[in-house]
Amino acid sequence: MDQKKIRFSDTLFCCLFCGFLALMLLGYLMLPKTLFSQREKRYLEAAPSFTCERLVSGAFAKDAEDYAADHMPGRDFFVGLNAYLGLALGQQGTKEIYRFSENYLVERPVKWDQEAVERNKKALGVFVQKADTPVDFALIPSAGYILRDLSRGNYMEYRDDQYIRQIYENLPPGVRSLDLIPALTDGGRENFYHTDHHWTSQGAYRAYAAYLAHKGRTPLAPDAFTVRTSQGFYGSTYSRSALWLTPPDRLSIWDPGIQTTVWIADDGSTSQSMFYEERLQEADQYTVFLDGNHSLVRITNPQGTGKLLLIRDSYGNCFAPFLAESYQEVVLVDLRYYKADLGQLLEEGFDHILVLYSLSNYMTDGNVPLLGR
Amino acid sequence: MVFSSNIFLFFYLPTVLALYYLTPRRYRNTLLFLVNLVFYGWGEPVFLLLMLFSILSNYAYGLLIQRYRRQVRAKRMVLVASVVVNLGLLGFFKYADFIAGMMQAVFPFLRTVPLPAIPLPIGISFYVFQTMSYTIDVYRGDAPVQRRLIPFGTYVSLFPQLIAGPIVRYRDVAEQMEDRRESVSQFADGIRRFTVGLGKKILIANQMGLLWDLLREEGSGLGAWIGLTAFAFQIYFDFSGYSDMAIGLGKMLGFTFLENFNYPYISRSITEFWRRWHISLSTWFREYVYIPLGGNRRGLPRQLWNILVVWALTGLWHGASWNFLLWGLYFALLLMIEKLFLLRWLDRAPLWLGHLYTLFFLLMGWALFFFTSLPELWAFLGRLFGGGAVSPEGRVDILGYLPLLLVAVVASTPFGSRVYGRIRDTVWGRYGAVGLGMAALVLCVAALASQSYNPFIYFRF
Repeated sequence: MDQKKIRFSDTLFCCLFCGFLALMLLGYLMLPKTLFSQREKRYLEAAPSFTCERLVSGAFAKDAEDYAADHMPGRDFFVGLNAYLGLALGQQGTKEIYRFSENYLVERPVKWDQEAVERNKKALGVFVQKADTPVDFALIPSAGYILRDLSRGNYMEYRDDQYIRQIYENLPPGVRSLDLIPALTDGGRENFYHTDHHWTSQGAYRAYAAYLAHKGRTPLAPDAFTVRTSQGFYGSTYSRSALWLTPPDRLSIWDPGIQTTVWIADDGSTSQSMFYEERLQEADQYTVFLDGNHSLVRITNPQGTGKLLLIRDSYGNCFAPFLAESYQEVVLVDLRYYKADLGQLLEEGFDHILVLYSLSNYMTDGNVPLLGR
Repeated sequence: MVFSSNIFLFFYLPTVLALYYLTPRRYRNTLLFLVNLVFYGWGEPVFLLLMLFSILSNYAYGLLIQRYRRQVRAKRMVLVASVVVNLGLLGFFKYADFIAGMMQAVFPFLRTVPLPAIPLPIGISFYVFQTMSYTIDVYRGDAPVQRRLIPFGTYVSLFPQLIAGPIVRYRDVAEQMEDRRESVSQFADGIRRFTVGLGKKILIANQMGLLWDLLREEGSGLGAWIGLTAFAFQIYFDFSGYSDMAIGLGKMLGFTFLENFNYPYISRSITEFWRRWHISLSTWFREYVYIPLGGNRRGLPRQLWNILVVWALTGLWHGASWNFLLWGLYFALLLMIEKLFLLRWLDRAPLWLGHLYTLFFLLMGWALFFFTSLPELWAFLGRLFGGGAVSPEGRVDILGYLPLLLVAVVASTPFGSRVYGRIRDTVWGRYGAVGLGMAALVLCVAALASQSYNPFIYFRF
């Protein structure tokens, strides 16, 4: 053996190091494996299948590495630790998410994409030709833009107002734009969640009021709604940021208390309520509104008047229940899932048509051009 | 397999360490040989055949050279054969496409023939140089011949330095292959070194790589300078981190490897830089190319020629592409100028001037190293020397990474190791090092858990 005296600090270091590696190895071998990651919204890599051919080709090694990455013991803890290390080193969040003061986790500013804007504009032009009613068009600014006063220090600038104006100024003829920025700036902090990119029911209410005023209708006053609140909502920006210490949101449901029937085309199911409250038990509580994203949804309200077509992204889920108060029928179409012919749908005849997208989805979702199909 | 992966850290390493220390001493080389092959064959098992061929052929050359040690001509024949075969392997796997491309440029009628597109076996540049050092040293009588196959195979395929160096010469580890003594304090030393290296790679180099990606096309002069600096840090912390990990893992297994980096960015001349950067490669070229060509003993013109040859080869060693050749020649030119007069001037000049001069030409060198296409290089140099004002996005990126840039600046100087040297024998120093090492390990694992962005720059060399 070495002549030098063995130091306790050295022994300790060896034990800690080897112990840590051994613990991780044991964790891999013993801990139960989850198949689906709620936070990432994806299936985790399955255990690699072993055959001699796959071993020789290197496919086994590749799969084993992916598997080891997905099923790392304490993965959430480590990912969170890394996110907080980034904050400590002067980053303002993670790759995609900024942390503003008052615990707002918001998406980073959307980047201008000239090509997408041109493509969408063309599609919109084709769509408005097919529809014999005028088309209203509204873009929802991002939470980061509305809450930009809460950014401290070193952030990319939010230019949502500039971008939205630029898009509005170049709309094809027959499309009327609706500016939602004033409505959402009013009481801005309550219009967006801390841990999710969507607008809150209050935010959606303000947009509803602005839209109805735009159409010459009278919106209900806020106190006409029954508000039910659910605690412990952790949304998308929470999962994406991995800043696990952020407190959860409260999610409010504004119920207009009317008789409606909801029909979801995907599975043909109907419901008497627009609010799927069993969803509040799940990780993503936002699906309480109209059961989350579906290709086509019809909400009928015998007390309402007129028929509205709403072409929308997921912000529409929370928004449509307000409109259902005023219209006899609201038809929601999500182009990410709706693969049938829009022209045929238009033949039903609509009194109003609204295309409603968040600016960031409008800029990044490749399905918007399906409008022109 | 790469060190900064879950498979290596949590499956391979604990298993290998446990098996190694459970195995009786006399079987440890055999065990190491087997686990080395697992390590090497993990991603691309087919190259194991190449590795085995390399081991067997060089083992045989060693024996033959030993056998003909008194017959000069026969002995030389074996050496020449070994050099031809080793360089042939390297040439075929690494340079065939490059040479074929060149031929097509010269002879247009060859352009209809498709390029061979041969995949580069991992680490071939490193282990071919190792095996060559063995046969040449045996030929010269600088190293003993290894008569047993297993220890020789273990040396060639030794996993710590197998895929990214350092290039360990056989003579430096010949005794250790036969007899090495592991100890708790050496193991702890190894952990310290390994965690430092892992931290350099994951916590600094990868982040610097991200900053370089962000700023490369940003457009402003300042952005280009900071981006290029970030690249200089990325490549240093990546490569020296890998060497640290290799040296640390070696210590855990009872080996002592020579140092490969010695704070290169504090150099005051390019000559000094190359004594501090990738020392095992510079040593190899000096020992097996420069000195055999006559070194500096045959007059100045011959010496300058030798420098040119060595650096053209050094450049090409880094990759089969024109920009690496240019990069090597660029350093040849600088070294010649320094040899002729500049070193004498720098000796008399103020210290800061030497640092400034060295860093400037190093950065230019890294630009040459990075851009494989000349138009891209020109465009980048244009931004470097004539770029506009910093964009708002660039400003945010620069400010966001500023703390880490400062960490990188300090970590590239001997400051940290001097402080540690001073307090290493105090209670604070000893337990502080344990705490810091474990913290670095946990943070690296945290970064590994989150980042899929993990390419080793030197991985394919």
